Amino acid sequence: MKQKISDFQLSLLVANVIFAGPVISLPQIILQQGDQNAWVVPIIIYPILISFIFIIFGKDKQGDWLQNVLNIGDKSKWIDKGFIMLFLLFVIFTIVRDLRGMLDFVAAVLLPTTPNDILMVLSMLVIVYIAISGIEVVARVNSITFTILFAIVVMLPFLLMNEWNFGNLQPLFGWDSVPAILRALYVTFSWMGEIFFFLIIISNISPPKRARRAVIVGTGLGLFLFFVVLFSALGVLGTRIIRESTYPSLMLIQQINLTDFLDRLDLVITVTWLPTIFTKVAFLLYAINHCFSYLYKGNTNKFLFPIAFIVGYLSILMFKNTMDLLRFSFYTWNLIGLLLQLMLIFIFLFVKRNVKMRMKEKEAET
Amino acid sequence: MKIGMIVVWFFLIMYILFVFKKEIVSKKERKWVYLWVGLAFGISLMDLFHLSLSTVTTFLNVTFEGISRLVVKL
Repeated sequence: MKQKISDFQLSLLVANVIFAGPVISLPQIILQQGDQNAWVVPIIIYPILISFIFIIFGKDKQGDWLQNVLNIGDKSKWIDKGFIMLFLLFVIFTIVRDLRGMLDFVAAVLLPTTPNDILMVLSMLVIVYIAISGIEVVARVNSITFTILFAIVVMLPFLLMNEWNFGNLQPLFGWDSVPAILRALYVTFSWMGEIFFFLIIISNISPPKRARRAVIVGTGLGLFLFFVVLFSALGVLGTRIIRESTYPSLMLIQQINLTDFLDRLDLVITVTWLPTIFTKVAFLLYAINHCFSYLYKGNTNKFLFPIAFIVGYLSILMFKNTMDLLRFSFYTWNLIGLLLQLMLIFIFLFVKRNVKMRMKEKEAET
Repeated sequence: MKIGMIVVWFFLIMYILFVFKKEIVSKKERKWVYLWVGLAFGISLMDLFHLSLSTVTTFLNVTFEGISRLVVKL
């Protein structure tokens, strides 16, 4: 039986996908490009993403066709397979980048003497356990971890109240800040465009008519949290410090200094933040499994264990060091991600048309 | 030998024993198990001998990074 997730779980999954990975080090490049006005980037990017969501879902409010998109074992045309292959490429790039980002972060901050491959193996064992259980388990784990993270991030501006310096946000907009904001928008789009991962689980949403709203809400939620982090980082640290910092979000939470004894909250927050990244990677691994299952025309859960280790080793071997990863993430991924996402949306429209045509043919037969 | 590789090999051997003993895969599917496990062994050996796959990333960086750098400020 096909596993189902609710619209609320989908919202949280979408929000997690665009928040958990990028928040590690993306604020650095956004603030480097957009300067003190970079906090408007999530606000500008939201309507752009909504327009893409409307293009994907179309006018049909009932969304009956959603139940028949990319189902495992169904007859497939070359365009469906092409979409899956492209999606596989997109998801592999993202999982390798995010996993390595997480491993480097843990190695730099929490476990500096533990070898990278041991961190990878232990992480993959947890991730494969979640992913192999299916999308329902991924969504449930995500609901728990993301809710905790949401509460912490929303409280962040209040926890940092005594450290705010509004002078860091000045000078406010002028015409000369438009190019800077556009540059920051270009850098951010490929990361926020990862909401399109929902395309692979589009047939698992129940009820389907609420799918569009759920994706819009989830995107808004993720962007809101990202806005809170960006705005707080700017207000507390300022652009000069963030430009030089590899992990600006960590630096931000290290500034929490409530009383004399509550000044090491960063470890607690990091420990609640890491499971959301684990869930995101588990979701990406599930997406890889779904792609393989579609091409294999059967369940490939039984092969996922070695595949997870291959992906883990790829994340270690593809980047020589953290600088190599940041170079790929900040400069190369912008264009590759953007191209892949635009191609995926374009091809998906054909996939959707095929699904609708098949449904009409079935109706005519009956 | 790296400790990570030893752990990976141990888990892969356990995986093979588990899927064959419990008959989770049919005889036709065994070739896929061998393929994926073989690839995992191979890639762990690459890590052991420090054979990096960064040429792929370097190629992508050289090809696409230049275009991005025309847009972004350095």
